[in-house]
Amino acid sequence: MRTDNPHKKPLSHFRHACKMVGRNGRAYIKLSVTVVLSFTLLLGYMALTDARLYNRYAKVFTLPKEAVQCYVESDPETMRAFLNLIDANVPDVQYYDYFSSSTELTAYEQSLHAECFFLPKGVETLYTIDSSTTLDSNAAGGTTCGEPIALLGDKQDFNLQKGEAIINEGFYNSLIAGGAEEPLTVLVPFYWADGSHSVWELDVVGVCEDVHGVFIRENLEDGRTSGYVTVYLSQSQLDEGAGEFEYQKQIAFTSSDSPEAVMSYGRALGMVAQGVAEVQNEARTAMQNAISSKAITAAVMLALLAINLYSSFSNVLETRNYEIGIKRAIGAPQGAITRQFLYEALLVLGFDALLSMALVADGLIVYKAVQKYYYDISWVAYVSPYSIIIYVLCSLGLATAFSLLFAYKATRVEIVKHLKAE
Amino acid sequence: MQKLKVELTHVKKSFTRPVLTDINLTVDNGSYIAVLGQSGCGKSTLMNILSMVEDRDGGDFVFNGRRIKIGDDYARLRRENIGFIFQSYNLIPTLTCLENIQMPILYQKRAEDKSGMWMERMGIGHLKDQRVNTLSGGEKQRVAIVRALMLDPCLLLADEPTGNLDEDNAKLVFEIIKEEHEKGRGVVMITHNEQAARQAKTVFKLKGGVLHED
Repeated sequence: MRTDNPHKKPLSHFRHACKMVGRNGRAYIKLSVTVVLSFTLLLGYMALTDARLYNRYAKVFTLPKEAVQCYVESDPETMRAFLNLIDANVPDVQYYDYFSSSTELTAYEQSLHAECFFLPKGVETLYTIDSSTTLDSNAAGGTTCGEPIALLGDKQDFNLQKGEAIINEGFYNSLIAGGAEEPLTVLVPFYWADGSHSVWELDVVGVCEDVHGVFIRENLEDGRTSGYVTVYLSQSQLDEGAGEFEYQKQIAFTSSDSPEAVMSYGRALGMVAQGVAEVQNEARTAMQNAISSKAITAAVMLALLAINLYSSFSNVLETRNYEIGIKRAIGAPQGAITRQFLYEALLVLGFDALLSMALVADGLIVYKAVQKYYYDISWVAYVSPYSIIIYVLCSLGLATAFSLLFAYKATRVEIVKHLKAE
Repeated sequence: MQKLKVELTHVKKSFTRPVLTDINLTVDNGSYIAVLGQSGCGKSTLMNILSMVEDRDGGDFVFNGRRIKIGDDYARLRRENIGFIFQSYNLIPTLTCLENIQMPILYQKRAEDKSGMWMERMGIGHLKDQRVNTLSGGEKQRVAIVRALMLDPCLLLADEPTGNLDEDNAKLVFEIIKEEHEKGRGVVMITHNEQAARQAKTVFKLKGGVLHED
């Protein structure tokens, strides 16, 4: 009874290799544990580094690089000098300036310290200011210099009339929790330089996001809440009083094609100058440094993996010497042995690389979910194309190199030595 | 059956000591040769050299007119012309009977698959999907014999083919080898059993690295 040779079908050697991988699963599982662990660590490290960088710096690159903020403490003359300087020397500069003063909101059971920002007319967008030009304080979820403050609800801009106010979200929630009803009003005491004070009752016409430095927390000892809040109100609020008051900060927000020039004028006058361009440069440098350290770490991990792979494949080969000896004894050409073991190694390593990618993807998803549901942080799971290319090239390169080595070593097996003797 | 002419002339082989010193042997389709000798005298080494899985150190080896060079690989020549039956069967334990038997035709795609015919003839058709490590010695040797015959070799090499078998299975194996010889296959069989050697037409004794006709 003769039939067609079943091995005449295409890819017969590949199918044979697949079968042998399955039949030698135990040996390959041991190898795969090492490989999957190493590949997962490598890709996971790169993915986490990328995501950390992205979540930290992505916002920075969406900000207008023309923006510069300069501020000075209680020094209106310096502010005026600065504005005159940039008017005269920086072409096409646009700016607005405002000032802040702080007060204690004594009308509430909470112990609240309010930073009041007096805004000029016509301000549409307000930007954050930060006390540092570095990025260290800008953790995920935080703000950075030059980032627009988001308005919540119906109010679309920071343009305010006398008697109106915009408050931060935390303050708003605290008022609602305390039983206040819409439409809200806030009572803001204001102290003049001569010691007198006014109490303004302001209509809350808008709510903005909490920016860095504002919080409300409950004092566990006596149940009272305390905190720092922000109130934005119109400069025309001060028209009713003829007296002077203590400035805390005078702030100028500028936009020009020469942000470096604006910053240098501000710093020359002793002001604190923060520019988005400067922050972006710092971010670029930090990202470059991170890429370099990522590459070095990847190289070290790959070297360790290569050593491990050599040992693991040698162990697998030990268990296959008998099979190779038999096949060679019955006439298998060296090329067929090479092909078989090359296919086997590529199959196993390819599967391991894909499994590692799946594990890292799952890990990122879980991490993202934890960040969202436990910490209320919108964490972006980001892997840069650069990292993916490194991973693919490295895993392909390693897989190919060790597959070839494995296949070559398989052909070096001495036939007689590994056949069972009498 | 393909024509067979194998000539070994002054072949020698040493390991830590000389094992084969001056081997002269001619094998053709009509040969049924038994090689006797004590353990360690070099019988298996002679078989390995004949089957081209091991190199000789010196002398001439011509297989069907082709001079066999030292150091070259002759997998194709071996595959197409020689069927090897081992004492320890040498079946791949992770494969089934059928997969072991079909192994030679994986490397010779032109060949037809005669596994069904041979398995029925040997009475092991019912074992085709069983892993070889579940078989008895006699069943394993029959699987090994079928594997050796799959590519219709002109030369059968049998290294102690009944060494691990009981009397009944041994008798069966000798019958099969005799039948295949009668079809025109040359047979060289190694044994240390004089009774087994009597099955052959020509008996040599390997002693002192030299073949002496008995």
